[in-house]
Amino acid sequence: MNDDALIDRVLAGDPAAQRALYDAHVDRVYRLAYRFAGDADLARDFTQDTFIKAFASLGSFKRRSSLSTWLHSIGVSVALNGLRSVRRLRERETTAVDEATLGAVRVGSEPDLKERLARAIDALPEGYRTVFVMHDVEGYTHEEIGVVLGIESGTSKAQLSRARAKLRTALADFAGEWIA
Amino acid sequence: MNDHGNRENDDVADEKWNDALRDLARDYNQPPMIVPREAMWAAIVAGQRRGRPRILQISRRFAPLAAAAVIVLAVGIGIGRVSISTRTPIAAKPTTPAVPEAYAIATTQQLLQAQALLTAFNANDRQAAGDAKADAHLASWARDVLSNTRLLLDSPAGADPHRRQLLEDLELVLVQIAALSPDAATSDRAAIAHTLDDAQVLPRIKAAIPTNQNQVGL
Repeated sequence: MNDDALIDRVLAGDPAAQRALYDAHVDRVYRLAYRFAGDADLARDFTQDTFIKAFASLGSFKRRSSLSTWLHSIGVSVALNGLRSVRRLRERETTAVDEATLGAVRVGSEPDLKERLARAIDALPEGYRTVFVMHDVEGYTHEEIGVVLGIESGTSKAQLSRARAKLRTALADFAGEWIA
Repeated sequence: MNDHGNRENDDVADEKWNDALRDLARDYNQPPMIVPREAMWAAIVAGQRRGRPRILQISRRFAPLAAAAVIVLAVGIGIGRVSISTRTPIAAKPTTPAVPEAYAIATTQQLLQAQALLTAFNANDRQAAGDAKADAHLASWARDVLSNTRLLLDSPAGADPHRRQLLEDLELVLVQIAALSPDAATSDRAAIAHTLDDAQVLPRIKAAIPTNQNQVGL
């Protein structure tokens, strides 16, 4: 069944169609939520909230983009808003933020390159991190990212380039052995 | 080596770096192999039965922090009020039960912010095609108000059913405004306006703000 037919059935109140829509898209939505959150509970919350909001507003979906893109727009918005809330709460919890834990390079104390990279990605500005995770980690194209985030694909490319440059700086001391 | 050769070498090095980065980044926040489909579906169905999108469950782990943050916000506001008040005996303030009043003050401040935002949205919406810069500003503003609205929802301020209903309706509208992009279609704005009208959010906010608070500066 194509997306249009599925949407029509959902709007007509068919619960099986709702479940079919959910089954068709949940894995990718959850995957992306998890990549952003890095936490199973938050990823579940973001995914659930995405689908609840999507079902509630499906009637206003204009079908100018694909259903998948529309769902991912909601998903990314939910995840980023949720993470902002979490970040604020954590900032209030932590009186002194240790810059090193936010990705700054601490030579010699972090032997694990992957861990260092993870911290450096966490420390990227939100826009850079969002594009980097979607493109380099999850494999979205710049065109898809542009539609989902409501930005030009050129902006997506520019943000990815800046994200990579920041990561390169953060991991400079590993570069020799890494790409040798 | 000439400039052309140097540039080629740089390009090759950049390409190798980017490939290595992509390979390594695949492990970043690696999702589990099994997606908890059934558990999430059950929560979605339950959320729909409640008749409205459920706010994020962040409260499970962060509720105490959220409550503390709201109190800090409210106490800050309260201190400001005390410092500018000349008619209220200062000695009477510290003995007042702090928590309920603090939440009430925080809620009122939040509703005043929301009222200002929604009024600005309505003003922008009345323009034929909206204003892209204004949309971006509104989206950013909405994200701030949204965060605090969620904090309130997860605090004792959200315990009152009427107030909770209002805050949840407000949350829905804020989510939509926060997602406004500079090139948002007229239909996107229309959908928000429809939600606003449908739930009568702005009139309910105005009604919920104590009349003597309407003149408080934001």
